[in-house]
Amino acid sequence: MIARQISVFLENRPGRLSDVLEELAAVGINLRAIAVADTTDFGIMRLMVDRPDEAEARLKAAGFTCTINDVISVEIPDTPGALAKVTRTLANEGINVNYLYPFSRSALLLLKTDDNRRAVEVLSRAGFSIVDEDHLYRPEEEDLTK
Amino acid sequence: MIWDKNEQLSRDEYRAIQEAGLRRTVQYAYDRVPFYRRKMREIGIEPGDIRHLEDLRHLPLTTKDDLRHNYPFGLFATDLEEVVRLHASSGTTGKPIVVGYTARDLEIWTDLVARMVTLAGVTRKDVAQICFGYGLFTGGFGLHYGLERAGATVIPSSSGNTEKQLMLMEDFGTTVLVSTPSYALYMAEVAQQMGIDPAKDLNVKLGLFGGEPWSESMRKEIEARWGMTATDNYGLSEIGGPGFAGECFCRCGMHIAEDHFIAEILDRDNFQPLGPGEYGELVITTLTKEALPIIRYRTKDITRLFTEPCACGRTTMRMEKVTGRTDDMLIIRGVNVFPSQIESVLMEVKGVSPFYQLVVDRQGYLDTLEVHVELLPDYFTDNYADLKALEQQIEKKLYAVLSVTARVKLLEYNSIERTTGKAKRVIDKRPKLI
Repeated sequence: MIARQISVFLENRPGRLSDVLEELAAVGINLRAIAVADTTDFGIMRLMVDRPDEAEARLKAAGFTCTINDVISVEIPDTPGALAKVTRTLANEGINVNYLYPFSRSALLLLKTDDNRRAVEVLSRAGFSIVDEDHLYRPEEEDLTK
Repeated sequence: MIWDKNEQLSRDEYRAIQEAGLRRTVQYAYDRVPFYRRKMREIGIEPGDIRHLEDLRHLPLTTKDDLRHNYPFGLFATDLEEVVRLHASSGTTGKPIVVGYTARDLEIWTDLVARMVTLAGVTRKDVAQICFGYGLFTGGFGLHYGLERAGATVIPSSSGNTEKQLMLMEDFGTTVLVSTPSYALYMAEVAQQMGIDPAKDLNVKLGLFGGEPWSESMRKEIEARWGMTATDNYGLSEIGGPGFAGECFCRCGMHIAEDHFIAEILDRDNFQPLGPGEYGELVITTLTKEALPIIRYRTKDITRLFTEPCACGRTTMRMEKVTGRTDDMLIIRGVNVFPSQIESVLMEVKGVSPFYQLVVDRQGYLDTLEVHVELLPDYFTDNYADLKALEQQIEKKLYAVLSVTARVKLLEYNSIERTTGKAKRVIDKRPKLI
């Protein structure tokens, strides 16, 4: 299903990533996935955390420019060609992927498209399981799908 | 060769010419320009009170703002019918500063530029390539007619298209280069990439450089790369353009055309006149201008004056290379840029805060301008493309206003230091002059 990620606007200068991470660590917020693209002057750091609202409030209070937005979490089998099948499914429907990154410790993929709602539909129809946000942060559960 | 006998007068003779010119100009401006009349009346001065050079200090100063507020022709002393040419300089925001010339003004201007290029060493045998933009800028046309009058063969190649410039230079046997100093260095680089060694393969012997401040080390670099003598000259649109002052082969300061201008150096803080050798702001009064007489124009340029006769045989007063400014005007690749222009653009853009910083640097030989501006948190989306588009939108608007390329860099909100005092808006990393 659709899950919420935090995006943080960061200038590309030494220490900025640490500043964000330390801010979250201070209140015991756990990181499950992170994506930072290489950029020139500024970048967007994307985070999946177990308490997104709290994380956002904390970062804003600390002066960071950040926003909560939606991504799709798709479970894929840990086999060659599995990711290609996801992207092909979306491509066939003309849905563009803005970026994607893996969720830690499982073959779980987070991706942002230009039409998340329709992407969920077509991926589900193609047999992929879409993971609910609540289930993302319960590692004890064997079955992450609903 | 010395162009004009007026370049070799005694100090007393210059004084006599200047005092006569001053009395004439003050009366003329008082009679014909309401602005000057009002300013003199406000402080209770009449033209008759100004008899000698020492009286100059009683006259009000004129600033760029005065010219701007009287846009376009408010300070003209003649009807537009008498004006045969208009030029304009880049102002801060929106409207430029307009200068006008009568036929006689153009005649004198041409002669002063001919004098200036002659004292730099130009003769009838020279082929001069003018790589200044032709247009509202006074540099292109000013040098053009002056060089023609001095007898040189003029190539009006204007600015841009560097490879073609070099081709013409090679094919036409150019001996004199007219450009900004930074463009001369850039040309040398392009030449090298084309497999041309300017010092060996080209015939350029003399450079006439102006339009921006430049250092002695830059002069050495230009001379080494081109195998030329690089000379400096000084002028500004407000007082008519180039022709005010230029270096001779001795290169010990720029000879001022004292028979047409009075140069003063004022203390930066109290605006009191300073003596020869003392650093202060250069203030210029025109003595022969008909269309736009200017009394005590504040150039905002810092320099000093020398009155000792020069080894070249001329006795005119000389001014040292300009070493700085009293205001925050930046000169980027020869173009005047005021932080306030950039500020006005940023104020119109949604999504960025009013806090900004300008970072000026030099890459190779060309100035670079970066505009650092904070992104407002509410305008942040998760979309990288939106942010890039915002940068590009600002860059485009800046170019439209400045006519010079500026790179925009988005910063995190609150990352520019807030201050209650004077904000540090400009970080100039370019190597210092001198």
